[in-house]
Amino acid sequence: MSAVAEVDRLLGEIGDRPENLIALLQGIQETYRYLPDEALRHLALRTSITAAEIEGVASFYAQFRRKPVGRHLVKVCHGTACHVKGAGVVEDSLRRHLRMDADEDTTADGLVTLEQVACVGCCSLAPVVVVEGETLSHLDSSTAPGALDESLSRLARPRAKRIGRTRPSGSSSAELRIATDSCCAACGAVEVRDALLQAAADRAGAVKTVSCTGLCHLMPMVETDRGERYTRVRPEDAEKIVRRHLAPQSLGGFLRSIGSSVLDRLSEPLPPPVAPADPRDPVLCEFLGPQMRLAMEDGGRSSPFALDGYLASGGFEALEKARANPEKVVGWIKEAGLRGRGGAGFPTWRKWEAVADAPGRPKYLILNGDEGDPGAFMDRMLLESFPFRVLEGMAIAACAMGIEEGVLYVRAEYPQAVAGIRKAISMLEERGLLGSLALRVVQGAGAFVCGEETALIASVEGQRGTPRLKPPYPSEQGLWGCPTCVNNVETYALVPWIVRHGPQAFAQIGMERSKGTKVFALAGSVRRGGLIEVPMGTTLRQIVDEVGGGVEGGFKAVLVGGPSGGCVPASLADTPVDYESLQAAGAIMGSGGLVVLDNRSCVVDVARYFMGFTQTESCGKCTLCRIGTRRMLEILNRLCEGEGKAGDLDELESLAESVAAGSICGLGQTAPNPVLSTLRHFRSEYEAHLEGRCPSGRCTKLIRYRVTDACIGCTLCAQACPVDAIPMTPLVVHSIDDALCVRCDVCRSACPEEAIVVE
Amino acid sequence: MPAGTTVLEAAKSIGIEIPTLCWLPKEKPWASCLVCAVQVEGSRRTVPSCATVVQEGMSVSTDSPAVLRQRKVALELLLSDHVGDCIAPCETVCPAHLDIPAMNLAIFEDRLDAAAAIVKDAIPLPATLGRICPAPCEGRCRRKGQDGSVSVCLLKRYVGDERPEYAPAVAPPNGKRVAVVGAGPAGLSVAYFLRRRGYAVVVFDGKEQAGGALRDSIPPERLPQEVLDAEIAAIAGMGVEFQLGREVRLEEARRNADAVVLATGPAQQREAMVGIDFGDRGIKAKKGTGETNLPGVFATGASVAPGKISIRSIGDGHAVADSVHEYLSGEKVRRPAWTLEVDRNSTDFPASRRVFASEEARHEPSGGGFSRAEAIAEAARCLRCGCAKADVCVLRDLSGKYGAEPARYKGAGPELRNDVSHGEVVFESGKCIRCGICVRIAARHHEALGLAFVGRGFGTAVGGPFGEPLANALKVAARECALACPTGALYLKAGAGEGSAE
Repeated sequence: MSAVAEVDRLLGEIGDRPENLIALLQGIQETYRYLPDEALRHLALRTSITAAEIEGVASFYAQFRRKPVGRHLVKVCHGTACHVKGAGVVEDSLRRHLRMDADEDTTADGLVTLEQVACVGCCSLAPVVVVEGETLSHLDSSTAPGALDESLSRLARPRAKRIGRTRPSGSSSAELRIATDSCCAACGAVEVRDALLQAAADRAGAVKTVSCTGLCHLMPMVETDRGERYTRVRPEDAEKIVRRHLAPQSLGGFLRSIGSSVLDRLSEPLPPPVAPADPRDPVLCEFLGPQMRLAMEDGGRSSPFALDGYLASGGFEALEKARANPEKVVGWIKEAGLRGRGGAGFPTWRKWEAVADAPGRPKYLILNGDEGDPGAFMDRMLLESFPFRVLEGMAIAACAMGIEEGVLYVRAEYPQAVAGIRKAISMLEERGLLGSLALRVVQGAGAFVCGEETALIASVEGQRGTPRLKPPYPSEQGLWGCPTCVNNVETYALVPWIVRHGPQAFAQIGMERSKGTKVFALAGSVRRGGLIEVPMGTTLRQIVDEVGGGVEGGFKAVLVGGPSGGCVPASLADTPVDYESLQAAGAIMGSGGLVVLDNRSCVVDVARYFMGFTQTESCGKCTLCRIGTRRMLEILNRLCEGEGKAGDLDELESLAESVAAGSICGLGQTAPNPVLSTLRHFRSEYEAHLEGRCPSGRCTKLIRYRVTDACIGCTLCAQACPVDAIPMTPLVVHSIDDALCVRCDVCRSACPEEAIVVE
Repeated sequence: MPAGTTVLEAAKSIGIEIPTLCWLPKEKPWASCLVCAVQVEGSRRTVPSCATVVQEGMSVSTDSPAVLRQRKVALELLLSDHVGDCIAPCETVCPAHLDIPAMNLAIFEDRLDAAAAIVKDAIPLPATLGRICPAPCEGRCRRKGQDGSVSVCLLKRYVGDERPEYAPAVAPPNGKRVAVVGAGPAGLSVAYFLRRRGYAVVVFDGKEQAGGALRDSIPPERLPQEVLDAEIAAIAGMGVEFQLGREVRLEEARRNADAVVLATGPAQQREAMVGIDFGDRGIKAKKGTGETNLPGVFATGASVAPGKISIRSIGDGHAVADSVHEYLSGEKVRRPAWTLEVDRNSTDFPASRRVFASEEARHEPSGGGFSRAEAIAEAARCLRCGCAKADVCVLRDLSGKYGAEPARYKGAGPELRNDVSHGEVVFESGKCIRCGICVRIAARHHEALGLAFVGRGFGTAVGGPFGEPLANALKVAARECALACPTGALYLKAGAGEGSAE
């Protein structure tokens, strides 16, 4: 189809108003995998949207590509967790493997386009690479090239047909539960579920797709309704699990099952399941012990799209209660002490009251699901696992403020969440549960700054996502200049609980000024990463040591709040999770990313990573952020490359303060936080970099690899080295040619004798 | 104040000046440049005053240390991403500060009267200097070391030779009288520039002919007497009185004039200058202004320091003339402003300016000087490094006012893309500060293509959509955009009328 006809088709399907622009561009890109100029020019011709606006928007959002791409798109995630776990060396290894220079994005044969993405929200599987929708997880520089090849060859083969849907559970028979949200799917949970479904075809009982359990480090996990669980399950384990727990339905099936049980005994036995409530399972007790689940209530038990199940467990009772007393809702939220979970902690009731009292109609409700913090995926999980809860929260908010139209702005990097929430909306509409509230989903297009509410509103209106100075706040002048309430996903998700259980129940949880619970995405160097929900007031140490199982390689610091947040050193780990306490420690609550650093992590490198992120994501409007973040990054780059100059630290600090004090939006104002907090807590490490040393052995320009006398000459390192920097000298102590070495760390991980050191 | 008044508007209404770069009257606040920063009492932050609405009881500081610091940082950051010479290096290094790129352009366009006006705005004796000047300007030409510097000295000579009679307009008599002692290059320069301002000027010299060292120490085959005579005649034609063949004593000169300028050259007759302090090298005079220890007595040229080249004496004479004018009129003469100059070692910058110039290598004259065709071909080689809007650039003006240090932040710069496709305007991306004024004006005019912000973050650029050149992007708004652009990024082409600064 010609680009002209395709654009005409999309205009008919999507609409031709200015606010449709981003969706139109997404449509064009879905067809062509990039935006041909011809299509854009036709769009300008056919709509009231100007060519300049189209160019501005198409070039603003990272999702849009202006050049044709290779046959397969490979996205290398550079989220925080992936970064600290080595995304850089993984990308380098892929580039070497694909013979691509650092400035190339497509292989010479046009097979593969390599793209860096900010975060795909699979932080507990870090580092990950996404190949045409398939997530390759836990990669390192030695495994990544092979994993990519395998994935590409799978793409070359026709795809196996996906089977069946979840079978409804019989009330009396057993149930096998498996979560398949994006990160579980990335670990192969969908394949396991399909295998379970196939195996259970003639069995009583059910295989149920459930909401997120938060136990990301154990995925894919199968749980029974009795609480027994199998972790890190492979598809080939499915049949055995089914045979053990689900009874055969027919005589034939029974006989078959006896036969295969015999076979089972001959083959490798399945490890016995572990019961979660069993006090003999200290791991799970520790993980779940400090947690309290309100937003994630019923996690791992409920099915995301089982509306009847949601209703049966008290769903929509809160909405009913709110509809009976709409004027009381704001008061309840105030009494509960709920503060915005998007990061800044603004009291939710004040926002709601301002919108409710604001003159002017219509009023709009917006869900901010543009979770851009590269290291956080709470919102994605809530949308995928608890869509009805989020929507009920929105409906209650709408009812409290007299709003009839709402927009859910969800980032396009979360396709499963987008599809899921759309499905949930139409299910609620079918049952009439949303009343007169009309909800629609708008997809972001790859811009972290759109998490800032005024930028988000500009984006919903179809413009470049540039923030504006506040006031006026969106509660006075928001979408289309009308009063608008913008809340984060988690904030809405907590509302039904508050209304159902009463504000006092919520207010009793947590601290004086920070009430209730907070969901975190725990990742980085902890033993047990995952999605957790803890009461406010829980200390960071409890989270790291108890929930997370401690840190291998020594607990150094926690990054709280992502690129807007700060670095809390282990010495301050007794800081409680509380808006004010975290701020005092130099961090912010943020949206909930917690990335734990061990002693191998370099804080200067981390500060550089975050500054690199924010400067890429700066909208480029105001001078201090556009140029200031870039200049800070350049100083940090110098430091990490051993080219720091006297005065750099003072200049960095002073510029950081200027950018924080003068930028017009939250992104710029908070962008210096990682720098300022690391300078405050780890100044000596910065000074070491000025002298050309990286004490953590991380900054590749400042380190070298050396073989010690412990070497037994096994040649494993020489075989693994991707650049032949280690001569093949069997039974002789190996040596590394420093000039050739690319510091990919492959040799060190290959060495069985720990004879390769970084210095 | 009506509701919705911004701090910027409120301040303007009571006469408080707040600087702006991105602000466009009658449009919604843009709040991108941040040089309009102010501080609201009780806040540690600074906010753009253009987008901050005044409220009852609000107390705003427009000059707290934090405000001044933030404005300076904003300017310094903008400068770190702003590539261009305010003044071309050739002009900066020229002791007489001849606007060489402007001269070259006028020669190239065969506008000789204009060229003469430009040249004689800085150098009263161009035909003379065009034969003897060692041309420090050519040493700093950005084509030097590539295919040869532009032959500036000969181009200047060409103008002088073609328009020997040219003299600038003389201001009406202001009733003040200045005596100049010495008719060498410095004295002639002082006399010329003071006469231009309307002073009655009398030049004394012990020699029978004016010219000083120019006449005495240069062989006539290099500098024919008639060339010098013609240029001195043009100065006399402006009404400068010459009293030659007569030594004058300082007391006498002072008695008959409101001010005296000593331009006596290196070999002074000290006994004729009673009361003047001398140093090791000559008369003690303040650098730049030429003030001596006696009120109303100034000194310049080789009388202050021997061994000066003539072009230096002419430049110094010009500066001292300005200083005498300040002394006698009480008016301030604009001093050379704050100036930005691209790193001398940059290769990207000169490369980017090739689009303004011919690709031919340096031409050598067939005779002693350039023919018309040769001069035009050589002038076409000028890269026009100087900024077309140097005198009206708001960024430059504010940088001077706030003492911005251009080299404070170093790092990656902007793309250097010079779009000359348009008939009326030129766009130099390296000087764009992303204020969006042109983008907004183009939109207001409903341009079919218009200008867009392309990309985001540090890499944000301004340009036509879909890579379209300026000629296609701006069909109606070009002039207005060029006039409104606060820097030299967008400007009218020479000859495109009002607002053209070339």
